[in-house]
Amino acid sequence: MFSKITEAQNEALREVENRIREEVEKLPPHVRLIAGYHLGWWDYDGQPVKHQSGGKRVRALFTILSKRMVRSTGEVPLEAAVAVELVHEFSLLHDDVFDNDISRRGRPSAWSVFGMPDAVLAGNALLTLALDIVPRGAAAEALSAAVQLLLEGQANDCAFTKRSDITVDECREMAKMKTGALLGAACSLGGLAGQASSNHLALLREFGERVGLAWQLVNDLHDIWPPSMPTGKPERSDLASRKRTLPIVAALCADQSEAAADLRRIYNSPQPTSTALLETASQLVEAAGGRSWALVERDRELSRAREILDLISPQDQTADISVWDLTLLITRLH
Amino acid sequence: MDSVDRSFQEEQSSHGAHELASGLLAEAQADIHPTLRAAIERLPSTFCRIAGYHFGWWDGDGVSDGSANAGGKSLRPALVLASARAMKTIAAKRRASPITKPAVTAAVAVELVHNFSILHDDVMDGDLVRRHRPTAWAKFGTGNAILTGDLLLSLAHDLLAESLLDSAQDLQAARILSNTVLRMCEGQAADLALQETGEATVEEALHMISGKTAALFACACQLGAIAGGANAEQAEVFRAFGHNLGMAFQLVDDLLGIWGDPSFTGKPVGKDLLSRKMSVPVVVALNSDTIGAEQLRGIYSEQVAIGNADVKAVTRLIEATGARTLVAAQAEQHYHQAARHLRYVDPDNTASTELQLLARLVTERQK
Repeated sequence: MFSKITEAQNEALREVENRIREEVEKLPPHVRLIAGYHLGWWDYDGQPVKHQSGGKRVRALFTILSKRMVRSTGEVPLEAAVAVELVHEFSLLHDDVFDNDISRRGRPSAWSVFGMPDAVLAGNALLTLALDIVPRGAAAEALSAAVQLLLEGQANDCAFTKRSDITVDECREMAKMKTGALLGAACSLGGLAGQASSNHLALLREFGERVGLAWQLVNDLHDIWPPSMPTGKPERSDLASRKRTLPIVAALCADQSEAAADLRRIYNSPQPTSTALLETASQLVEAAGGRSWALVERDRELSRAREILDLISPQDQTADISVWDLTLLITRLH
Repeated sequence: MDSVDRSFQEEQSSHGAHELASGLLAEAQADIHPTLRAAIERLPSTFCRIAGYHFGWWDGDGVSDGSANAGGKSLRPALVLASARAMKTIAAKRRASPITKPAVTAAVAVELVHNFSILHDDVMDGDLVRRHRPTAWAKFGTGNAILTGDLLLSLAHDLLAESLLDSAQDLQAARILSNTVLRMCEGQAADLALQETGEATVEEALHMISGKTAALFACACQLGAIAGGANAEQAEVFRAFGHNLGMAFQLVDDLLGIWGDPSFTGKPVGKDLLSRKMSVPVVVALNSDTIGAEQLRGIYSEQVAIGNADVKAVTRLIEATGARTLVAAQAEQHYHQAARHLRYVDPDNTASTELQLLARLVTERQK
């Protein structure tokens, strides 16, 4: 995915991965196995797998690059980057339980292999490692605040599946909490490691939150219109499970649209759904304006994010190049 | 009982000691309530409602109805506060001051971790009733209960970081809390595995309760001691005290789960047998080299439920293996070991009176 990143960044990411591994190796045996399975290192009985399918460490990269943006010298903020990734992994473990998602990164999700209790316990262990490794003080506070927002976002996400009257604003707020908060923390933790001013810290956080929302919008679109390259997720799982993601809610809420009315009928019908019906549903989302709305929203978040970067480093146009490259990379529609 | 133990027991009658200890629990609950309540009320409204329901402050709609139970026993917070006070008294060589903010904060953090684990354990164990009400997951759903637990865990870390400890203490306290949570998770995982397979050595069962229960008792006493100004060695002694006390607590709990008097426990006779719980006495009995063990294995491996009528027979069977006597003796040993730890930091038994009372309550309780 990251064809453009430099050798130095690659090296930093390897360090992040190694450090995550070191931390997980310290866990007691039972939860360690489940964590290692979830992280894509081992199969269900602890044997190393040949083709590792772990996370891409996008959030860690944002922490590392944000730090470099405010201070070009000094060490890579390894602990902060690792803590952010561990929080992310914790949230995936728990999220798959609530959402009943049976697959994650092209493999059966942890709970579907080990059972719900073990997946919850392994998630708890990763959260604990994150809260343990994050630098004390402002970084710990920022991470903790993001964890709490993330959990609130997850709770709303669960609640929304039972409600048919979600508004676009509610859904955006949920996505901001669920995805934006942690990316905001990733960037501000990088800023803290680089001793950024409080003004810059606030800007970095907002930058991350906006990029996070743009990223979520694109992920939602990719679920409805799968890119040619495999994502490791079952295709159109959101539509199949009647999930109310941002583009879908925008489409469902289109008042005068006939397509929206048809989509609502599908959403009120019982599961499961045929491939043909999913295809129809995706066309209805587009016809009701869900796709173009999401792209406009993404672009708005991105242009504000770009303005923020200019505020942080007005003179030096090269310092932020990699942060912006990464941003464009993850928010591109395939 | 040897002379050493007598000095620990003091002259108090059992009844009087328990009254005093119960007073300490009530006091601890009152001491931590404002901080705990404020922390919970900072949560987003959904979680605030679920957490407050779980703590017994209000019903499912967030309304305080007179019937709402006052929540748990506050034993762990009481241990934090009593440890802090004992440590301060030891350091100052005179009766110590009222409780301090760091001690209260640590007590609240420990109580939050305890409730995080309860919220999650109830989901995992499928338990429907807690403190005479539907459990949080039964009322609000699995996802909400797990998320609320997650939130309490994160809140516990926040609180500890916000307390007035200096930065070295803060780091130490944070490490202790994280290690404790990891041990609790491992203990719960081991317990689930044990309940499923029905097989474990006595050593494995003891290791399981050491993570599941004793780790947080140890953490409570260690954090309390640190808040009271303990050095590393003293804090370690308090930790050891808490560990032994936690072991005694769980072993007594397991005994009451089989032989508890329903008029005290408020639970059905042989509750743990009805649910085929692999508690320590059951594991001890199954591993005993007796004829009873053989019969018991037969009963426990059958898929048929143990009915009310069989409970008496199964209870007698376990008792005949000697498991009851053995586990009771182990609980007693842990209690005495706990006492020895205390004496190491408080040789003349004056600073740690409250901890001694709590230790007696834990070991001698009937419910």
